[in-house]
Amino acid sequence: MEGLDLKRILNVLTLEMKRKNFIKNKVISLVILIPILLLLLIMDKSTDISSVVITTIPYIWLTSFCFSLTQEFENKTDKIIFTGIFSRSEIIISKLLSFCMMALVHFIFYEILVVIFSIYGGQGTSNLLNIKTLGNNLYAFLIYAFTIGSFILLVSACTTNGIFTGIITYVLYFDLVLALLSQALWSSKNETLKCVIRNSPFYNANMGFYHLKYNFNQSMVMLISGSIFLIATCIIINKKNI
Amino acid sequence: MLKLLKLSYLNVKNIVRSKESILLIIGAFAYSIMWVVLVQIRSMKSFQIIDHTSEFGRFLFIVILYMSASILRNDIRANITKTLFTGVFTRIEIMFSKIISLIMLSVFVSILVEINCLLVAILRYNKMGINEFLSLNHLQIIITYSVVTFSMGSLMILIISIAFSESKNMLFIILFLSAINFFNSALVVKVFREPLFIEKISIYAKTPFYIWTDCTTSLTSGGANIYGLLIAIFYGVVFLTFSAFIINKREIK
Repeated sequence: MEGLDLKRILNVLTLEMKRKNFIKNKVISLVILIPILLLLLIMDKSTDISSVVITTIPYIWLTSFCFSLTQEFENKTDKIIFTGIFSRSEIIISKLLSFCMMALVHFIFYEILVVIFSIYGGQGTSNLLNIKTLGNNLYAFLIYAFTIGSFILLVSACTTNGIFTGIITYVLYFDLVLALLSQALWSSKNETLKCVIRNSPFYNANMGFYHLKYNFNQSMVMLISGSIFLIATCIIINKKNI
Repeated sequence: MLKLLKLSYLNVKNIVRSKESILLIIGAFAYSIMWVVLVQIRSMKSFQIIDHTSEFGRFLFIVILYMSASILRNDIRANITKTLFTGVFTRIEIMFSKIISLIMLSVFVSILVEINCLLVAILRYNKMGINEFLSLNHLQIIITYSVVTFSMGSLMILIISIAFSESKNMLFIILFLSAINFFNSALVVKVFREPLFIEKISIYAKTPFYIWTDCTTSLTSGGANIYGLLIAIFYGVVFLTFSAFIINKREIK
C-alpha cells in the first residue's frame, strides 16, 4: 500500500470520471426512476416516495458498481490500466472513490426529490432541510457505498465476471439473505447466533440503509468490514497475474 | 434431427458444467441448508418438506435465469454466432435446438428440486424421515418446476435475441426478475389469505412474472395450479416464437 499520495489518487479519480458516458449513465438511471414514481403516485396517493427511492437506489448501485472493475477485464483494458504509472492499489481506491461520488450524486437527487414531493404533498420542508438530517442521510449514503463498493471490488477481482459478481452481491446482501437472517433472528433461541447475525455486514448494510440510520455499533461493523474487503482486494489485485 | 439433438445436449452439458453454474447450484443448496439449520420454528403451521422448496426456489430462480440466459449468450460471448447461424443448419433449426436445450434444462432443474427435497428429509431425519419424502407428489413438483423453467428461459432467450449482447443489461434483467419474484411471493401469500385482493391487482396477476411465482407457491398450499401452468406454457411458446422470428430476420454481424 506504499505510495498512497492523495494528489495522485485525485488525478486518477478525475480520469475515471472523465470516462465516456460516466455522468450520462448516472443521470439516465435516475431519469428512468421518475416516471415510475409518478405512476406509483397516480395509483396510490399515500405512497411514501422517499422509501420507494431508498429501496430502489441499492439496486441501481448494484448494477452499475459491478461493471466498474469487471469491464476492464471484459474489454481487455486491464493490462493497460494495471501496468501504467498508477499503482494497482491506487486504481482500486480511485474506483471506490468514484462509487462515493456516485453516492453523492444520488444523495443530492434524493434530497431534491424528497423536498419536491413533500411540497407537492403539502407538508413542510423544515424538518427535511436541517443540517442534522442532511448530515445523517449523507453519512448513511457514503458508508453504504463504501462497504458495498469494496465488497463488489473484492468479488470482481476474484471472478472477473460482471454478471456473476452482481448475482453474488445480490444474494449476500439483498432480499434473499435478509429474509433468511431476519427469520433466524426471530425464531432462534441461540444468543451467540443472534449476536453474530446482528454484527454481520450482510444483515446491517441494507437494513441500516432502508432506515437511513446507522448507529455507532453498526457503523463500526460497516467500516471495519469495508476496510477488510478493500485491503483484501488490494492484496489480490497486486498478486494477480495480469 | 439426431445431430440437432446432439447439439442441444452438448449445449446443456456445457452450461451445467461451467464453473459459474456449479457454484450457483452449490449456493442454492447452501441457502436451502441454511434455512433448515438456522430457522428453528416456523409460524403457524408445522414444517413440511414441501415448504422448503419455496425457499430453495427463490435461489433457484436466479440459477434458472442465469443458466437459461447462457443458452444463447455463451455463443455470443464466444463470438461464434456467425459460424453457428450461417452454417449447415438453418436459423430456425438452430433456434429449435436451443428450445430442446431449454426443455432439457427444465428437466435438470426439476431434478435439482427433487434432490433438495431428499436433502431436507435427510437433514431432518428424526422429524420427517424418508417416508415423508416418498409420500410427496413428485409428479406435481417435477411438472411445475419444468414448466416454470421453460417459461422463464423462453423470456430470457427472447430478451437476448433482441439485445444480443450488453452484459450490463443482462445483469439488470436477472436482478430485476429475481427481485420481482421475491416481492411477488408476499403478494401471492396475501391473495391466498384474502382472495378478494386479487381484483385489485387483476392486470398484474395475468403477467408471466406473477404466474411463475403463483405456480411455485401453490405447490406449498395444496396442489399444483393447472390453470397457471397452462398460461405459463402459453407465454413460453409465444416468447419462443417471437425470438425465433427475430433471430430469423435480424442481421448477424
